[in-house]
Amino acid sequence: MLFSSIPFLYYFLPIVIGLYFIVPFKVKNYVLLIASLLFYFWGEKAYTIIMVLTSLSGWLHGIFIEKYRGKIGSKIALISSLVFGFAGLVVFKYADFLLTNVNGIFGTDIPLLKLALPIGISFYTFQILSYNIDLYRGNAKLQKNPFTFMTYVTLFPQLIAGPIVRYVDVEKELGERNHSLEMVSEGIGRFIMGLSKKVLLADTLAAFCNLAKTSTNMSVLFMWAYAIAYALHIYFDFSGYSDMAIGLGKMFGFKFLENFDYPYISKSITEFWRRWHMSLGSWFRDYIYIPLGGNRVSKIKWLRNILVVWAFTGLWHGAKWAFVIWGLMFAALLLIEKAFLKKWLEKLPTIFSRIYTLFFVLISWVIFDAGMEGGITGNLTVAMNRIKVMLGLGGVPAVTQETLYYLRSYAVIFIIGFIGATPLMKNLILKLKEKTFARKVINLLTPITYVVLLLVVTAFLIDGSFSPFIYFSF
Amino acid sequence: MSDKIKDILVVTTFFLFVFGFFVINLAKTPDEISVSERRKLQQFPEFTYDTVMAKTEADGNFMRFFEKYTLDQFVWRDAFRELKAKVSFDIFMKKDNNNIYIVDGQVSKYWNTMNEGLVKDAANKFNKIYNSKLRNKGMNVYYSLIPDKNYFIADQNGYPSIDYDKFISTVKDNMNADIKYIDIFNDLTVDDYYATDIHWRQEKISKIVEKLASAMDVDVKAEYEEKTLEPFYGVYYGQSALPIEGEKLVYLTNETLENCKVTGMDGTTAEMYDTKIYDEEDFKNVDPYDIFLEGAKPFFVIENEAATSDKELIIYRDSFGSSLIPLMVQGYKKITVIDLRYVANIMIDQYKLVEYKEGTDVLFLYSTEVLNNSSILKVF
Repeated sequence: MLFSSIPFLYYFLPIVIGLYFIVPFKVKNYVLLIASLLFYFWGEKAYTIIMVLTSLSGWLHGIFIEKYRGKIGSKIALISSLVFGFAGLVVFKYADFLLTNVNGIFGTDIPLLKLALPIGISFYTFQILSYNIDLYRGNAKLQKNPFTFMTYVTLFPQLIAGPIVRYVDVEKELGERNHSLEMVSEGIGRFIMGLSKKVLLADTLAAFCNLAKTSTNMSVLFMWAYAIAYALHIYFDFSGYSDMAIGLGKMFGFKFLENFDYPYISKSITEFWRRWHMSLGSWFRDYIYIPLGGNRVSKIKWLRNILVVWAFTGLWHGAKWAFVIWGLMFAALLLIEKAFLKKWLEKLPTIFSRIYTLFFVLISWVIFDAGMEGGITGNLTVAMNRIKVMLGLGGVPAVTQETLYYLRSYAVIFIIGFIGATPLMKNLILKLKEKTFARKVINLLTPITYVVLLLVVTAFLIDGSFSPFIYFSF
Repeated sequence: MSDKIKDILVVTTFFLFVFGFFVINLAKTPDEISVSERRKLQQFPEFTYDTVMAKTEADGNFMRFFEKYTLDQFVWRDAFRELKAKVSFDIFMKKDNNNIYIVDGQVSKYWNTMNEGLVKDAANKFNKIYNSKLRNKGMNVYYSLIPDKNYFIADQNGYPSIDYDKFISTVKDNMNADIKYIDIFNDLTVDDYYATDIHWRQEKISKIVEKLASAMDVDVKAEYEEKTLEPFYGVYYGQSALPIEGEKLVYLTNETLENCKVTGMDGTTAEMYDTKIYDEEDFKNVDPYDIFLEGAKPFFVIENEAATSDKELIIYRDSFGSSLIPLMVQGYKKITVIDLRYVANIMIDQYKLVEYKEGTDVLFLYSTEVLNNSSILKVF
């Protein structure tokens, strides 16, 4: 089920909220569990059982990790949990990619599995593994109740597209949490802002991207506008989802960690990845990069660690070579920055470092978008052609009348997008709130703004079409 | 306002909002059709184990149809669609809403991709009919293209548009050279079209009728009485979702039109039935333009004993023809009307519905948008 859908907003949500706040605390987790399973079943049906079994496997492995703590059995249980967890990913996400490559290299004809990808499998697998690893390391306590553990894994606010919530971050709240008026109010605000980002900005920008990609009157300016629109689209789509997840979490008494911190204001690629999909970056850092030795190893091993982490980051997004190239491109940029570029950039005026960062981020999104099309390579040819057009090598005019029309038509959306991708408004509101009168006015306007946004979002949903979140694919 | 009161208001209004719409939507009786959108609305889907477990929409997937149901049956749906259109135009300053735009009161839907292959296919389909049925039989064969509204207002106002010169030349280059082209592009203006609809106004196309008749050497001059029906809301009215005023629909009639014999073919049963050129009852249909020759129908024969000649006309047409054909009746003893969107030419032959006689005029009269999507034309 989509957050940005009428069935969720006006059927599922009121029923779940109503039930959740009526029942006593000890039943609340069960309400959330049943609601979450229904939420997942709505879109995935048969794969619901896969998710339940994967959760139970993670919980059971936890029991054994704890039971044999300090003994070899604990390590075996951990390795077994990793094997089970990654096996699910390999079978459903990577099998056909691997088989196609094997067939291509060795000339074999091994039939492909052609299994549909269970929605959110990468997210919930990583969450379960984080529990098993943290438990083994002694950073998390054993969860004895399988239903409570399944509530954590399947919790519908963050089930499908993150953020990747680690067990240790919600461990306490699973057993005991407060539901203050302030927290519910904050959650509602965050949810509505995320919903508005998705429906009003991301979906409108997606329409612009489709217009550009299917245009028969391409121009250099149009392709740049497409790259910028896609960058804004994916940001508002994914960060909008994270906002909704965090907001819903707060409504139900959970505090999820932030997943985005205005990534497009970054002054380097290193900084960009500290601000983009933070829960994924920290997962790879804590569970792969550091266990491999991080940067406290020889230069060759450090280079290996960087390449491994970024190849995995690419593959996490999709079983296609385009995503591997996308990940390795960032690895190369990060290495160059660490070697010398970051020091150079720091000496230059900020504008140059921002242009440098945004240029490569835009190029990366062009590859990423094309990667979602085509077979196991992703549509790399399309990506290269689009980049050529951006660089003026595509043999198309600099600008066409059609380009100007669409730019005029989407100008306000772009402007709102540019402002929304920076902390400008947030800082302004925080600044104004320091003054008593302004704070009162903002407080008065807040509920009005939320109602207006809900009305407009509903109008856009009713008149719109089916539009899933990009990160559902991962 | 204090932080606490703000929090109380935020929580209260949000819960009232989602619970309110939940209850109102549950209580609402589902509508059968949307008049403004001219379509049937999704009803509550069948709820069984099979539909819940169905994988695809084609298998009757309950969830997918329930989502459609909630969208279609949402309370005050038209008001919400209007709100979306207004936000798009007035707040986001978009130049169009779902490709619908408004210039000087004229509502239109732009399209800017010429499907060259389909345009060529259209010409080739007409050639096939010509080669198999019309050629070497002493028949006079013509074709004419009707520009859509965008020809007059899109490019001129900065909206995306196709290259109409290229469009015309593509058709011309691919049509059999023996089929004569009658150019009417320069005889029309945007005012000859309804403001809220795709079609031209019957009372404004006498000049087109005369031009076609002159080219086909037939006298169609006649006196008509104007009859007015209102309000007329065209197809773009619903698509724009904006509160646009209704228009007047004027139709031209006279004794000849009222007395001629009209026989139609039922598209489903292929049975013939008697009908009329105009039926004011059809103005109450989802598409009021149906008043002209019953709207979307596959086949008619119009016989006029009071014609100014013994000539016959076979016309292959789309919906634009519905309002033009009555004005050709004066000049022909018999007009055979074929809409290839709703009947395949092979079926016409199978039922021997058309006589291909020497001296008969044949006209292919199609609008640019239909030719650009010519896969809907069923020839063989």
